[in-house]
Amino acid sequence: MTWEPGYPILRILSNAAQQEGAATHLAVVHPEEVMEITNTGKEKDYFIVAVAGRMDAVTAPEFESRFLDWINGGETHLMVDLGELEYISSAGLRSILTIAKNLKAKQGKMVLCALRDTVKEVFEISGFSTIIPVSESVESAIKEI
Amino acid sequence: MPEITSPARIEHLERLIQFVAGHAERAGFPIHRIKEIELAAEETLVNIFNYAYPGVEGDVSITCRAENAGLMVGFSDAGVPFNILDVPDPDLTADIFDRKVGGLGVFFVKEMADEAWYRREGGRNVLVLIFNPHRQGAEEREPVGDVET
Repeated sequence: MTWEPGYPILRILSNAAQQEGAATHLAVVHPEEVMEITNTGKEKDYFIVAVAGRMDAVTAPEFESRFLDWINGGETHLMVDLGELEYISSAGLRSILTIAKNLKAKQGKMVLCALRDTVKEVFEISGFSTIIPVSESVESAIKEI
Repeated sequence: MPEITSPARIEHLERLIQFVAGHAERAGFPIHRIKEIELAAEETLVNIFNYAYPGVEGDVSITCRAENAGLMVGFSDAGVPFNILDVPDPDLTADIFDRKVGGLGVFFVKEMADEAWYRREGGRNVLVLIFNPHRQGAEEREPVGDVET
């Protein structure tokens, strides 16, 4: 197949291997290769984090521990850019809920930005978009502060 | 019929999802639908990993078959008798402190699959999910990407 934006490279390599009859045993994928979490700056006291890749049952614990580290380090106002997050499962939602409850207990706040495609669909179907603040983009979330 | 068998452990999750996604892609499903199928596969598998074999090791098997225009995905395990489809839906209107996330995974399986069938056979739980190229009952979605308007 040809690559389309949003289609992870990891997928193409593994499919190529399957089609050519190569061994289908993939090495265990480390969470860093499937999900990337980066602090991209700070704006009006909001700590901005970009989460890219996939949040599934394997990578969600890493998301939770990174965010708890930041929160325990004093960052209680968070803006999470999900523009490059291409997949989320119930494990990811559970981790987000854990972070949100933790922040609420500290009078903190978290806004999830730029949800798209399946991630947006999952949030809407589960009702999570009504309990966690969401915004079209980091830019528009910053304007609303 | 293409089939994969693996220990029912979380470190195999992504490889098993890949197996199903690869077949959906070969069946010509659009990317958005493939991700929905991956979600249903993950939630089914994680349920098996967590609950099928309390205190012991066990396997899970997945079969994939293109059927008419759709994809039939079968999950089977030799674990405790359990019909995932009996799990009640979570309360999706509860607010943040009341929200219990139990049942959310199973809810996604039912939402993403167009048909879901369970049977207990030969000491195994067998769950068959049927996916059409577009999720039945989904509201009309805005097309993504460049579209002439």
